Amino acid sequence: MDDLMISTQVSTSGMKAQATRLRVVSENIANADSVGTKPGEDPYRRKTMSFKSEVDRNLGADLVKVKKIGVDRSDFEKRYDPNHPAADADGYVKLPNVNPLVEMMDMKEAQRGYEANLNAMQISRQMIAKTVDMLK
Amino acid sequence: MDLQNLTFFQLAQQRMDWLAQRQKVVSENLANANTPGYVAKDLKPLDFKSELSRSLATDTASIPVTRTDPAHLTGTLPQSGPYRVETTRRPYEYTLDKNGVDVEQQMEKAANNRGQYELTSNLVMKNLSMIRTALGRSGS
Repeated sequence: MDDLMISTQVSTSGMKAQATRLRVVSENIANADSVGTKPGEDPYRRKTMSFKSEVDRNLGADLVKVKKIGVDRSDFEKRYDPNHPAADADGYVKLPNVNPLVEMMDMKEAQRGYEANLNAMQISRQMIAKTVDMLK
Repeated sequence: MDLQNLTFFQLAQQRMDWLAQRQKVVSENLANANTPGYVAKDLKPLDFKSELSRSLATDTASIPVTRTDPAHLTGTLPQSGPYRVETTRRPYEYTLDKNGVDVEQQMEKAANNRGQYELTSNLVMKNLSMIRTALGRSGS
């Protein structure tokens, strides 16, 4: 039964990691149109994140952690809009390097990951309940 | 009366231990379903031959560190469980970041685990009520 308790904690770590990922995705989507305010200023830069597997010494199990929240170094796209406050000398405005399609895919994947972890946790809990039922 | 003297209860306990540890491994796999470079793991199947050799050769799979002084440390990592964990050799597929966890397969394993666990615990309860009947009390 100890193993089952540990497995619920492993699932919790997975859910936490996927929730962090969802937060990063929503930050990106929310800022998909955040451009600069001064001429030539850089717009919002897309955030990225990755997972890593880490052995928890107390539990003796592989938990999942957020490795690093970084930024996407890819180039900004430009749009010709000379009247915009952020337009540079040539009249171009830099746009954020956020691709809503990519973010949507990431969001779906995070949701599926979260659900899978939740399901595993439910099964572990049912197994614990079944063990306790043996006392009856 | 020690129930462990009855082979059935010994067997059931072993089975449930194995299933619980497997559930832990499946949870680890699912938690790491998006971790780059992580490949799914599973327990070695519980079969008669390996269990026999294990009980004969007092567990050669995990030899503990010899301690000649009580202040010595036992080791850095805790025992993850009595059964051997293996990395899947040929995962169904790899993603671009070299992740080898197939979520569907893991869900099937988890569901299977639950079913087997239920079966074993029901069998234990049934056997207990049979013992009660043999003792002359009304089995409930």
